[in-house]
Amino acid sequence: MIVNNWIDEENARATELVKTGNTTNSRAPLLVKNPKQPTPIRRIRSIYIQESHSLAFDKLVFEHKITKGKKAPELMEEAIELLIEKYSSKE
Amino acid sequence: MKIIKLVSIWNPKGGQGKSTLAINLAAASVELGLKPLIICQDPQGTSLLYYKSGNLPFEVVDSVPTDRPDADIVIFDHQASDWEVPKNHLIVMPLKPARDQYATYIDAYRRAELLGKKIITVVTDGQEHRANEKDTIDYLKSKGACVIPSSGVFSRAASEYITIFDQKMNKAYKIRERRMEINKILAAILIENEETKNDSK
Repeated sequence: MIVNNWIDEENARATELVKTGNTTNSRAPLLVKNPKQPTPIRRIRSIYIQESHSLAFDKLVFEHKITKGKKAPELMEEAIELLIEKYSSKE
Repeated sequence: MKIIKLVSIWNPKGGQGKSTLAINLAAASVELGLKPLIICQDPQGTSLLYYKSGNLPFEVVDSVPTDRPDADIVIFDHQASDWEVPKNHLIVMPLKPARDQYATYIDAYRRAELLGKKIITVVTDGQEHRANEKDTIDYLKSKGACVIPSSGVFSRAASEYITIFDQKMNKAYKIRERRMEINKILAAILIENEETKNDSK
């Protein structure tokens, strides 16, 4: 025999609470998760560019490495995105 | 592709025995010849501390692996204060049988229930000689909950960062009963039909 008279009370309270989607204290700060973004899948494709451009790119990568900035693939992607934005059709 | 059993140990209330249950369920699955993996999702890193002591016959990792793990059962050890219902289907919710502990449990339970999750309730640290606790335990048992009574074997194992399945615990008082209770929960997990394929690559 169940003697605890609070179980029904708590069950009813929880049933009502879940309908609101809140916690008992909805003004208290909630745990915020910050999951790591998955690394995008990159494909390797060779391109030919002038040596001066290659050296300039290497220098840029080196400078970003020192300042803990973007890495070489990210810089290359940024450059390609700028090229696409400049030369692709607006449609 | 091998199906990996995914199970979350979850209850936003702290101190209910989530990490203890996680490592002991993993140890029980080793006894069955399975390969478990614990993914510690708790900044306190309790299960990681056990692993770092070097006494566990299985692996505990600090985050979700990017590659598909070589494991039969993956146990997510969630942190307290986490109100987000775990994404996988099977959830194990430990709770102590006191009213304030039950209140948080039932709030979280209702959320998981609403999302159609399969929930296995485990009453931990209960003392049946206390009438009030016994009533709660009996009530939860009638709803299908598993029970692990209050027992010194857990604190003894914790003092050495080992599981209760460690050989050092073989002569501990009522160890057989405690191991059987953990095995019963593992059996409930393993016979659950709704298996989930791990799609991580």
